[in-house]
Amino acid sequence: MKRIVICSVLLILAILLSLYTHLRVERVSEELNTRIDAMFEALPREDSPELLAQSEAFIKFWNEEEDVLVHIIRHSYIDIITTSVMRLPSFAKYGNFSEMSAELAVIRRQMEHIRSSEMLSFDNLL
Amino acid sequence: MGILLVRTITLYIVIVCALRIMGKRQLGELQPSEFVVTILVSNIATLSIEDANVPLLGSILPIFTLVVCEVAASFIILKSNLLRKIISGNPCIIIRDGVVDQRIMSELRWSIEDLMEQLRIGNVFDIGEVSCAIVETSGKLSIFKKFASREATAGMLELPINNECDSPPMTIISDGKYVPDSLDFCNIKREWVDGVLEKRKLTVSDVFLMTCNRRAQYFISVRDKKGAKKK
Repeated sequence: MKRIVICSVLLILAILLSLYTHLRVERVSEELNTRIDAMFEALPREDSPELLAQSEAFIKFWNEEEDVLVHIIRHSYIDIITTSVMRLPSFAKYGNFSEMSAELAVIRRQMEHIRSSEMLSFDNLL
Repeated sequence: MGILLVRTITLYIVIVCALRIMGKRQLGELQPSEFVVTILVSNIATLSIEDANVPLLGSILPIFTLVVCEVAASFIILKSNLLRKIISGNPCIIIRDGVVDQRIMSELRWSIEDLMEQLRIGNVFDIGEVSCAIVETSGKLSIFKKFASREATAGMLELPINNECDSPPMTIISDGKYVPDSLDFCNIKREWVDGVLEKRKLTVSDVFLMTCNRRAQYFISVRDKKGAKKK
């Protein structure tokens, strides 16, 4: 009986952890997309100061989220986003907007990949 | 490297806890499902140790999930005969009334050499001595010898039966410390043990090992290479 109780607690913890991971990734993905959309809107205006401010805010947001995500996602997946995010301020500062656009696309794609790989779907099971 | 050390120790603790939760059955003879879980647990644990890219939770969560599945399966098997047959299989009678069942041998993919080896492991060198042999679900062979080949028992020889003879010797002092459960099992008091030791001019801390049974027959092994003393 003791084992059944321990296993029930472990099962509940495992389900809660899975649920938390799923919700956390969903939330980060949504927030990240919102920020990327805002930067994509600013890009055609080639407004360096605004893009720089957005990039720095993006880095701050990502650093906070990264601290949590490394505990639940493979580090190599997160490192790709971190590398791209760190490049954004330089591109904004020196007016390299095409590269910045490319990096934003990479970040969006990689986050989408992480989000979809966390989804409970038949494709992922296979 | 430091983090690798800590991760390895953490996973070691997790696996020990996991095996304890799965129970003693896991440590002895493995049923097919237990065998699968043991292999999977050991493989999953190495993921986080080998690859620092994999979060520790990426190993801990699957390990505990497998433990939950194993305990749940054991519980269900306990309650359902049908599932027990499906998951663990059935014991097979490979020798019946002294005759080897070749159909069963073929089903189990056992050769004559395999059967003879298992018999030898069971201390039977002449297959003619076997009345019945059963291949258990764990793969071990249980042997029931013919009457003429069985070892004589106290019952057969009609020896006077003393229930105290059935009590095995227990460790009552281990490395200079009393083992209270064993003292209770043997119905022995510490004062009696102290008296025995006093006669030999020993204290408890001088004793490396002392075993005793319910008939107060004891064995003492003294520390510091003084040698073993036996009553």
